[in-house]
Amino acid sequence: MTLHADRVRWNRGGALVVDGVTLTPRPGATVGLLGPNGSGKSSLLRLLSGTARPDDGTVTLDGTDLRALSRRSVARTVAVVGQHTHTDVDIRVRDVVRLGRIPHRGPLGSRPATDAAAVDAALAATGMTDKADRFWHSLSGGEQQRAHIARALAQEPRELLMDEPTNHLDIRHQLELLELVQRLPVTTVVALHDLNLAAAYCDEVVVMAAGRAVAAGPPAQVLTPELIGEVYGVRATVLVGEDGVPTVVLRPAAVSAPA
Amino acid sequence: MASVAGAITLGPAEVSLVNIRDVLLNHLGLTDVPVRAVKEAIVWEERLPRALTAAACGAGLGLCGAVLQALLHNPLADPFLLGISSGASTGAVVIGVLGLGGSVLGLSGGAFVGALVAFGLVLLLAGLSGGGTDRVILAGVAGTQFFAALTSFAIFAFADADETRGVMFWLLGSLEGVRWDDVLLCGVVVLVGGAWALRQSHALDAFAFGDDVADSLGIPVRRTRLVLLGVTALITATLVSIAGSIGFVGLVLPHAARFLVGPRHARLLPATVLIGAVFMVWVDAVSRVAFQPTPLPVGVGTALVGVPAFVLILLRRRRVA
Repeated sequence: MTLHADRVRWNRGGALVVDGVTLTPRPGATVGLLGPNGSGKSSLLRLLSGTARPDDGTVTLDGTDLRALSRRSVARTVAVVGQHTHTDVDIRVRDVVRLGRIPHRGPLGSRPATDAAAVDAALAATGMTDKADRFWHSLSGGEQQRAHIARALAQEPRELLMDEPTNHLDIRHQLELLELVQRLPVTTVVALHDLNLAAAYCDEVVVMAAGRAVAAGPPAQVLTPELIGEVYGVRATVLVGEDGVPTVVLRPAAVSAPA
Repeated sequence: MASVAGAITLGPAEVSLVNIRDVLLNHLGLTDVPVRAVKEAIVWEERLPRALTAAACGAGLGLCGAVLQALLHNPLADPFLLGISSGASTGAVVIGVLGLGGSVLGLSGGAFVGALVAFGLVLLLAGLSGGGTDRVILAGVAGTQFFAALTSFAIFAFADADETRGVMFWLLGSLEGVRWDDVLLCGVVVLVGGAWALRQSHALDAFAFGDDVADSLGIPVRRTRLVLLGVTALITATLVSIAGSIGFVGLVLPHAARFLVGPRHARLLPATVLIGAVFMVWVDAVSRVAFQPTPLPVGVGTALVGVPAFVLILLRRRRVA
């Protein structure tokens, strides 16, 4: 069992941002959410994390409706890395990562040894160990992003929800991050803009347009020139490598393809 | 403790540390050392309750400031942000100038009721407009302005010169004439409220990156914020009703404490409480003696003493960073 969305709809301030989406990630799989801006990727992630509640349909964790679970028990299983999360607080990286231990506090407080081990492991996994004592504001955008991911890993989640985590990362760190996510023994749902990253690292992709899931399946089946043209309004050529991983080459719609 | 004792020695009548020790031990029933009645009265009836109330005010206001700055993600939040001080002043003016229900409530009771009414209206407005942190702050600003205007209007329209001066002095903050029951009230409220806030220190940490991150860390955001806003409102309303609106402490001391011990609330809250208590005891002592025999309103003293101290911390901090 896992985190599961069943025909969820969300009417957000008069706009139907998620319209009847069903999502059932396989345990341990990496699922990419694709689609243009405003297609409902972030909104779907908010429904999955329980930060927002669907108007219709249900999100369940191991078969239990999220609404019936306390926020804390959800947070012990589901971790979230969102977009645009900044702070005015003068906080060190290690303390940011340590926030991930909050849901694991017992009634008598925290367990320092377990917490420290989880924090160290999360820092190591994201390559942030040598920056643990730096102040948040002294980090680059990419390092801040990695610190957030370390914070999510310190939560020791079984399900990881990420909203465009490769934003602000240079290409090497984009690849490293997704390799890390793929390697982790967690189920990951990750919103991505880059179709090639999705093709290379996701076991499955779900393509969204106007709040609906218009296609789902392995990247090699889903990412066709027809679908990309329909959803994004651009021309694309899809090359399939020897390893079966598709590569998408984009061309502007207005320019005709060479004969 | 040392600050309280030291501060008690300051004042027009000479009191030595030995006197203080004797008075204290006598009252605790441990010794029976003869102390002159005048000194006994000055220490036990006047300076000790006053110093302890000052300590409670500094501790409580600092605590509320630290909590609100975390809850509202705003480094400029202070205990009076949510209309509490201006509501209190309106309440006090209604009692003091208009004489409504004065015999039952007194100036302090009026202030307490006014503070809670203002806070309730601000929360209602914030809730009706969506309930986000920015809405809470905007509602607080609106409430503060409205009740300040009401206060000015009542003074302008109905008060004579003496009443105006009395209310003005009270508004600026004063620890004149506090009694032991004030000490007890302040102390209990600050201790209970402080213990409550400390239990929630991990939740306050979780707010550092905003509501969504706090939510994903398992904090029930709206409930936690509402309860903690209520706790700070009760503490602040109690302190304001006894000592008037003492500015600066709640806004700046949490920052000073953050410079010293970092942003984790399990350490920050106790540090703020301690710094606030010590700071207020000394400011009050200095305010008492600086312009003898006229006491300086302690709210004026906090800023006059506190701003230079804060500037020093800022400058030192810049060199370290």
